[in-house]
Amino acid sequence: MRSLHTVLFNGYYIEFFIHYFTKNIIFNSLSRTINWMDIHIIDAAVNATVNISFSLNKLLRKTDRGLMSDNSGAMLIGVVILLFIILIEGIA
Amino acid sequence: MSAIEIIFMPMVLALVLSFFLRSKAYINKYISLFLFIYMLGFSVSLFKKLPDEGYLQLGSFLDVSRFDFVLTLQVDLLSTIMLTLTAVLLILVTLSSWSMPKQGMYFNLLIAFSGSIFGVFMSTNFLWFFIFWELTLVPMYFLIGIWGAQKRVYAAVKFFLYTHLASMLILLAFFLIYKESGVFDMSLVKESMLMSPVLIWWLLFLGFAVKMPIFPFHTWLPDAHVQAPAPISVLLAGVLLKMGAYAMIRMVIVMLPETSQQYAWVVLILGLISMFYAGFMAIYETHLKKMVAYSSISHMGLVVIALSTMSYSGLSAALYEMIGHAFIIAPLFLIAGFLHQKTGSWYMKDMGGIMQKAPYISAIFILAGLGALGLPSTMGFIGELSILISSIQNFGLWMALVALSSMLGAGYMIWTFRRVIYGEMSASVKKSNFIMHPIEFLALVIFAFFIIVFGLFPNLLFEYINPAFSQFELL
Repeated sequence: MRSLHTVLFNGYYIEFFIHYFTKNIIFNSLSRTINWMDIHIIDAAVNATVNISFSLNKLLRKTDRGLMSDNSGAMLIGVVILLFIILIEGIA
Repeated sequence: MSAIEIIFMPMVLALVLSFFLRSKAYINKYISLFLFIYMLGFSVSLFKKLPDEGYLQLGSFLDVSRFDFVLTLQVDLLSTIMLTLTAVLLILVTLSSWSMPKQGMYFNLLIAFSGSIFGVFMSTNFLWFFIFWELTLVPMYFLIGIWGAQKRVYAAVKFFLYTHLASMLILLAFFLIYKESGVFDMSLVKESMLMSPVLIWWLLFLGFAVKMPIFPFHTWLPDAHVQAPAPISVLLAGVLLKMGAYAMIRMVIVMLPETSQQYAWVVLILGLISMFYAGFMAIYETHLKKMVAYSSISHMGLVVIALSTMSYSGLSAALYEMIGHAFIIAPLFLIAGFLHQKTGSWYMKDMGGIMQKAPYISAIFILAGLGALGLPSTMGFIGELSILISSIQNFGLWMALVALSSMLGAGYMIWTFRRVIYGEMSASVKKSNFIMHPIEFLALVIFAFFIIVFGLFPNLLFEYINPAFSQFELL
């Protein structure tokens, strides 16, 4: 009788359930996790492309110092590659 | 004024105004208001001229015979509806920007934007469509980058790069279409003409998915919304996002119906994820404008779900929801911007008790919020209900879970009402006066009027929306 009274007195715990569900399940679990994911995975992946671009930029700048010897060396490698392609095609 | 003048005249006018009349910059807002009213008149006049089926030819220009580079301007009912929506929003955005600082350049950019966006909706040549599509980015970049909040440059660059990268996919798809079909006119391309429709479908879908935006390509939007001035957020949500949805209908669903049917499940899943994901994000947000931005993404998720049905009823529901979303989200953004201006904070904890200081503005905020959660007698209800019905008809009863979006909407909106509108008055609210410029308030009233009128009499819109799709051959 006492337990029935408690259940009725608390309105079948409906309010408690709604409060628990919205606070702990929707807000603290689902929404918080999705928010974390949005910041740390999805947006971070987008921002990572920026960092990758910067890193590539740094790397490429090392190869382009504006020195005559570097430029002529790159040109020479290019000529060798072209000659190689022509040679292969000629054989084929 | 002819169709070509309606596109290029605003661009020329913006340039002219930038060089002349610099000392009388305040005149620009009157010029832009007059121009946008004229553009609305032009759009409305097209409804009478439209044939029962097919396109209304508005002319071909810049015919370079060696290339298929003709600027073919033609409209059908779908594009005319989009033109009218755009013109209405441009007028209301002008009214909402009445007290904007540095007015000269601001309105010039708005005028330039109007020309390019009309070009998007009127041109059926892929290349010209693409040119106008890209041109819309330029004024938007400056509008966010100059008039935005503290991190405006970051948001403007992110917006520009993100959407521009997506545009590259679209351009690639257009060239593939040309290579395989030999035509550049979207009204002439049929799926049977293409050898690799699947690849083209994916390129176009991904390109337009960024613009709409669909999860996981949405991250540019909250940043852009938060940093953009409030009237520009209205344009972003009301016009730019709709541009993506329009292109998705026109070039993905209508042009490639078989492949769209094949991958409808992908569209559906992404739509469902967008809707729930952004809904949960909105619940967690304490930043008012960010909350509205996520609510906007959640509603676009609903539009994507409606598109995934690939049915006439689904497309009609999607278009209604697009229009409803534009009118509902606008006052929310405008009021969020106004509250930030007055309280100096974006956070809800600093905005409690607005109702006591600004009852009319609060009432409009509540009305728009109730529209966003889909309360009957508002546009939101009709939009969500028609999407729910069409998705149940097409995918079965399990799609009733779309109705949960309304529950999520209720979660974040009613909680926002409690924190922002009601509750204890915060210190920053106490010391501010919430007097809005009467013309800016008028814009809010007009938005509220549309939310209720089209919510109570949805047939005023469906009368035009339903026939807009009957000419298309869907599977």
